Amino acid sequence: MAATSSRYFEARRIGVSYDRVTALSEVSIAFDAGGIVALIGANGAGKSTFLRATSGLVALAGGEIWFDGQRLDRIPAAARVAMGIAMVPEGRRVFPLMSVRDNLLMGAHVRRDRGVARDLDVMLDRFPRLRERLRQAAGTLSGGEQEMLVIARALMSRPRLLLLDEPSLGLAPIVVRDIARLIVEIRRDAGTSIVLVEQNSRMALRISQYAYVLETGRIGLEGASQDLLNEERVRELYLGG
Amino acid sequence: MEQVIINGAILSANYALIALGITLIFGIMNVLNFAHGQLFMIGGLVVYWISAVVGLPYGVGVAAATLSVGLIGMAMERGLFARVMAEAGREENAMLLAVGTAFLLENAALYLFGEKQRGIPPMVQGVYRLGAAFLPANRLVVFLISVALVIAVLVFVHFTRTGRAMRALAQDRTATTLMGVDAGRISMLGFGLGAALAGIAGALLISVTGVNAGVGAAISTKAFIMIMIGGAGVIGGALLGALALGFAEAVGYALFPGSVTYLIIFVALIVFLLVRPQGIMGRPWG
Repeated sequence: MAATSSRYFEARRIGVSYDRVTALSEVSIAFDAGGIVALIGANGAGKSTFLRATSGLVALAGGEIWFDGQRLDRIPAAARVAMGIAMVPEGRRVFPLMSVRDNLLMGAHVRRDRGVARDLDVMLDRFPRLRERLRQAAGTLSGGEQEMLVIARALMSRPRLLLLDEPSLGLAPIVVRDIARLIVEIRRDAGTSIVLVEQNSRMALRISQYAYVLETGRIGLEGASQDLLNEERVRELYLGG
Repeated sequence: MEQVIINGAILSANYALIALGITLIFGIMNVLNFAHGQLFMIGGLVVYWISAVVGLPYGVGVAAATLSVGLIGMAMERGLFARVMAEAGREENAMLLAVGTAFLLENAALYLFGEKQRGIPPMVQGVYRLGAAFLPANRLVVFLISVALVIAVLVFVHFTRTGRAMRALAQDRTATTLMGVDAGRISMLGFGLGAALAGIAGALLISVTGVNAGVGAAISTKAFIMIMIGGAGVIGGALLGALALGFAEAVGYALFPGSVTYLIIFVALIVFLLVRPQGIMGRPWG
């Protein structure tokens, strides 16, 4: 295999196993900077596992991951954040006993620059609900507010690549619309590359440019999101006919 | 009455160091550190060795005790707990490891320092009178240092970058790693800080009560009582537990002969836990 990658992000034939059960095998995903890539598929198809492998929460059983010219898969998870990769985990995972403010500051943990206070202010302007609840324990927020908080927390590290794991899970349709709009704005305003894992396939395909369909640990289908929205098999299996 | 309040305040302040230390370790590692009392004991004996045997000033002894016990804590985390917890599927393994470590430290101390009760002369002489009560100047110094240290730890945990990472780690290890925090490093620092607090508590109390190699189990028991009262893993609970135990002990010693006090404390604790098993500030388990 080549000792580098010409793509901004490239996962080459990666595999992941949990206790000898194969979760991903021979998965290759690549994209250039500044777009939204969607990963859709059924429960247990390996979508979250792909994000966990990219952020370093699980080790690869095979293959390589490259990001911006650097080999990623041998770098510890914590160090990948400093390289510009931020992940919003499934189920939100706020720090429930810490204040909203401390949650946001945790997001900026890897930063040593003086811009953190200003970014915090910018973030609170963007999410007025979080400003109102700045001193409140994060565990007391509603589901939608917690999702805003974890996305804002991830943005505090000023990521170049943002990994979102099921951001719409368990949220009311009107809140899902807000989250979708937010994802589009993040990409538009900061040029952040985004990988979006979603059960809500319709939303994911509408706001992304390119998409992969995962089927039991392998790529079943890939293509421009617009095309997949009209694809017969995708409509039938993932968009409810 | 005044005497009881003074004694209670002094005991509480010192116990707060012990309770804070075991709470930090419990919060970050999810391990009840059965060796906590032994760390306290080693802190005391190091001070004895530095100031009574080597002959250096007491302050040097306290610094050496804090540092050496802190390093022992970091070595325990790195060399023992981190390894066992990475391999073991059950929490009991880490608990048994903690018990084993307690025996190891106790026997090492017996070998190095012998079984004798060791004490050192008070660092300052003199006695103050407050109303009807006596307040030895030495105990006042111990009290003030303890309170200052408790405040310093609270400020550290709440207002510094590393302290914030420790609190986050105690709540969600995965999410904390995703913030770019080196969880292994913070665990080691947290264990070291918790241990150092036990060490400094022993280093301070040796000038009041003396210390021997076998005192660890009793101190660990007191630490467990405090976090059971306050609620495991909650910093505010640790402080409340220290206040409750410190004053219960002071009142008990004023009213009853010797060992009856702890009999009453244990009975009261059992009744309390029947009513509120998660402690005053703890969340219900399970």
